[in-house]
Formats: sequence, C-alpha cells, structure tokens
Amino acid sequence: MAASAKRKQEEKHLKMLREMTSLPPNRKCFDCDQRGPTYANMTVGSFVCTSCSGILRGLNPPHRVKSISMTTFTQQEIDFLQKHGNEVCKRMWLGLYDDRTTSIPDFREPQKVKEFLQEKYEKKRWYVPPEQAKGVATVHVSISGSSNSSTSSTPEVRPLKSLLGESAPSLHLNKNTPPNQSPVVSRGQTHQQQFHDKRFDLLSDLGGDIFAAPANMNAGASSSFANFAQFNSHPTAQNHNANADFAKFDAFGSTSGSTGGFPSAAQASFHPSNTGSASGGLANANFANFDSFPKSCSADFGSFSSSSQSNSTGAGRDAVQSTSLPTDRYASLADLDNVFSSAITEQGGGLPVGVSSAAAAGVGGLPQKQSAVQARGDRYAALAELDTVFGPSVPATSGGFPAFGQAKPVVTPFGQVMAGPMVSSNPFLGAGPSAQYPAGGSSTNPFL
Amino acid sequence: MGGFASLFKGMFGKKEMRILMVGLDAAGKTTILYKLKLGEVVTTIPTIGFNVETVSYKNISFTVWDVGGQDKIRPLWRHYFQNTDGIIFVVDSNDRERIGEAKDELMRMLAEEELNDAALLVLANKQDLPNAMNAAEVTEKLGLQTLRLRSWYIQATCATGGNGLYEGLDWLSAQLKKSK
Repeated sequence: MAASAKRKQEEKHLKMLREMTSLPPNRKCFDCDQRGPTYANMTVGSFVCTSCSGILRGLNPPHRVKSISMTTFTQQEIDFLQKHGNEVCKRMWLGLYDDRTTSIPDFREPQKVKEFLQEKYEKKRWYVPPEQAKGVATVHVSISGSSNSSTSSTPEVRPLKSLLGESAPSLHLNKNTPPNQSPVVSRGQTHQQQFHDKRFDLLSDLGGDIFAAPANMNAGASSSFANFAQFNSHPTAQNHNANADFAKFDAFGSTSGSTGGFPSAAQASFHPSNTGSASGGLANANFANFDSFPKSCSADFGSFSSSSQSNSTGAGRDAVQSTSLPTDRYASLADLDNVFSSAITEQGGGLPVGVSSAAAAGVGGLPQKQSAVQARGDRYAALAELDTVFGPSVPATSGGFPAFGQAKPVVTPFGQVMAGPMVSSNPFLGAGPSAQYPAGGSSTNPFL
Repeated sequence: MGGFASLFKGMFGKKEMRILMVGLDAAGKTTILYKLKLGEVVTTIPTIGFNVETVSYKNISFTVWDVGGQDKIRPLWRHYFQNTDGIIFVVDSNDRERIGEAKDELMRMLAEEELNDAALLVLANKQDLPNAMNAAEVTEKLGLQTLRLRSWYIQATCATGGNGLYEGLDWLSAQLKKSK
C-alpha cells in the first residue's frame, strides 16, 4: 500500500519533470545550450546536459546534480525546480552577462565550459541576487548599465541599452492590455507577447545586436499592416510589395513562435508554399529557412521572401505537375512536420488532406473555383469580391492563372492574420476549409 | 625453464583482487578509479552503468568495478556482488545531509550473503572541502562500530589530490594476504 502510493508519487513527479523539461527555456542545457537536458542542477534549479552535470559536480563548492530519469525527487525538490528552471536561473546567474563584452566560450571544448562555469558560479561574475532579478526588465537594464560603465564601457554598448530601455516598458504595456479587441490588434499582441517571452533567450543567446533586429522587424511587421489597409483599394499593384512584407511578417512570427505557441499566421503561410508551389524541393527550401531563423535571425528574410516569390511566379504550371508527384508533396510536409512538430501535430491529420485537395483545386483551375463557391455558400459574397479583385486575370486561360498563384502567398497568411477580404480572395480556401482553418472556433478570423 | 617460471610466478607473481566500489552518487568513485589508474584528475560525468579498470599496486592486480550510484540504479549493485574480495564504500564527507542515506545503503548491502567474506574499506572522501566530516565523524554516522564479523577500515581521502588512496589499497592488500 505504502509502496504503491510512493510509486504513484514518483510517477507524478516524473510527469511534472517531463512537463518542466518540455518548456522552451528548459529544452536546452542551461550551461552549454546542448539540446535535451538530462540532469537537474539542484543547487541552482536549472536543467543541464550530462557533461555539464559532470563539470558542475566538480565546482567548488560542488553543485548537486540529479539525473532526471535515474533519481527520485522529493516534493520539495520538484517545487524548487518549478520555482526556478532555466529562465529564472538566467536572470540570476547570467543577469549581468552581455555577450557583446564577453565572448561566448566554445562549448565543444570541455575545458572552456569548465572555465565558463567557474566564472559563472564560483566567481559569480554575472550574478544578480534573486530579489533584484525578479523585476526583470528594468532591473536588468539598470544593473547591467551600471556595471558596464564601471567595467568595460564600449561605445557599442550604449545603443543597445537605450534600445532595451525603450522596448521593455512598451512590451509590458502590450501585455497588460486586454486581448481580442479586434482581430488585428490581438494578433499583433500575440506576436509582441511572444516576443516578450522570448526576449531573454534572444538577448543572451544571440547577443544585443540580434536582439535589436527583431525589434526593428516588429516595426516592420506593423508597417506591413499599414500596407494591408491599402490592399483593398489597390490590390494588384500592391501584390509584390505585400508579398515581401508578408514574408517578413511570417518570418518574424516563426521566430517568436518557436517558443512554443506557434502563431497561426506562420502556419497559414505554409499552405501557399505547399499548394501554390512547385516541387517539394522548393517547399523544403522554405522550411529550411524557417528552421534556421532562430539561429541567424535577420539574414534569411530576404531569401525567404524571394523564394516564395519564385514559387508563386511558376505556380500555374507547377501546380499541375504537383498532382503527378504527390509523394514530393508529402515529403515536404514531413519536413514541415519535423520543423514545427509541436505546433503542427494538432492539425497533423488534416493538413495533408487540406493541402492535396487545395492542390487539386489549383490544377482544376476555374471550374474548381466554381465548385468551391457552391460548397461554401456563405462565402459567395466574399468570392464575388475575389472576382472583382482578380477580374482581369481570371477570365484569361492558363496565362492568367499565375496571377492566382502569385496572390496566394500573400492572401492566405493575410486572411488568417487580418480580416475577411483577404480570406475570400483565395479561391483555394473553399476546397479544404477544415484543414485550412483548424482552429476555426478560436481563430481571430471573423468569417469563421 | 618454463616450469621454473611458473613456480616463480606462483610464489612471487601477481595476485588478483576483485574490488567493488560503490557509494552514493557524486561521492567521487569514478574520480578515485581514474586517479588510481591514470594518476590524473579527470572530469567525470555521472556514471550510468559501471567503469572497470585494473590497477596494479604492490604486486597485486586490483580489478576495480566502479558502479553508478544514483538512487534508481543502486539496485543494480547486487549484480556485481559475486566473488567480490573487497568493497570500497566511498562517502562524500562534505554531504552531511545524505550521510544517513549512505548508511542505509551500506547496511542494506552488507546484509547480502554474497558479501559475507568481503572486506570493507570506507573512503571518507572530499576531505579538501572545508566543511568535511573527519574519519571519526563518518565512522560514527555510518555506524561502523556496530558491524560484527566484518573486517573494515576507514580512510580519509581526497581523490583529486590523491591523498589516502594508496593507504586504502595497502589495507586491502593486507586483507588479501590474511585471507589466503
């Protein structure tokens, strides 16, 4: 009886531990960024890899490390880990860490890691006491600012600090405003909120200048909103610009989305690249770009937008080819699934169906569009608007068809992000509604 | 010539001793093993499974089995009990919190029949740390005085400095001679 109760307790603790280690900040070793920590550092409350756990036990004084799978944890230990974790630890033990002034050690060399950990824990070089570390943003700025001025004040440091100081309070404001005022605003908020959550990772993992980049990108995203406001009035003329802007926007979404909750805008952006493009290879290239965003933030945006454009220009012809190569399509979807596994699994079943049926719609061209209208009568008015938007190009035969392909990458993410007209202007949505809008009920789209 | 060589070896050649080294996790078992083997302090990772090395000292070849000490894998220790001549039980003298846990594990192990004839060497390790318990304190906390029918010895050590390790082996080799 007592033994089974104990086992139950152990199982509960293990489950809680697994949940903790699946939180984005805890998915990497706190001390060397290696993926998939296997040990808990019970001295500071972080999650670390096996080799760092070895180094930590050799520090003076030694840290106590416990294997997640090979030791049992008490309730107090679980509580302790829940109160800490890598994010809280980062504020404390790397509170003053600034990789502009401190070079990141080569984590492949055990000796370097050891020295780094000695600096970090024995000398407490970047330590901020927990009381001060709690008021995260403001404290962080003021403390690091003062310490930098005393230790090593390089001219480059200043702009970062001022930038941080500006962005931090505004993010708090955004977080406090109630969501769901309007689809546009709430979407923008989610992004900013995710950006806020991710902020510390970005700051210390990638450095100050890269941190600055997403901030600019945020601004870029909102300016693309402005573009969309004009989209209705000059749809065809804006196509190319909007496309580029959207590429940026989605890219930004995916960077911040990698924290866990994946924005639906980024998901939606995959439908066009799957349906509208092309060979699996091209689609793969897109995914690869997405995968690399967190590491090399700003560098790939150009390439992403350009590849999506190249997809769309050839879309008319390629869509036809795509039916004869269904396996390619699935292969690319498998890649997509790998890259965004956690986010995509929710709709895993529906996605391939939706994509393939949308592709079929693309092959069928205009007749398919008609059936889509019949299938979703309530969309009729919206689709009628589509006819006006694409009026000149739709009646034309295959020559005009690429116009659809071109519009699609723009339109689909837009529809999810923004409002009705963009949704309706995508003729392929009708073919696979359930897959395209898996989150229908909770979606910000008023048309669902 | 060949006959003489084997006779010579029988009289003066190497003897062998099978040693099982156990203790709570992070007591310093692996560090001790490689300090004995290589004479160096290596950075170790928590042992999953075991390490085994032969260490030659005073014409005795010690086969030392160093078995991981994390609590869920401690039940595996018993698989190494058979034919063990000596047990090295390593204690982190600095870990006052878990000395009771160490005692429990030690007593549970010594109750195993397979280990009835094994000599017990306790290494009170990490003596370099400022808050370390000395050998007398560890003896008391482990309840070593209560042991009956067991030859045991406690040695204060510092694995990283190498202090006390060979003194421990000296005692073990003396036990071997006594029993044979």
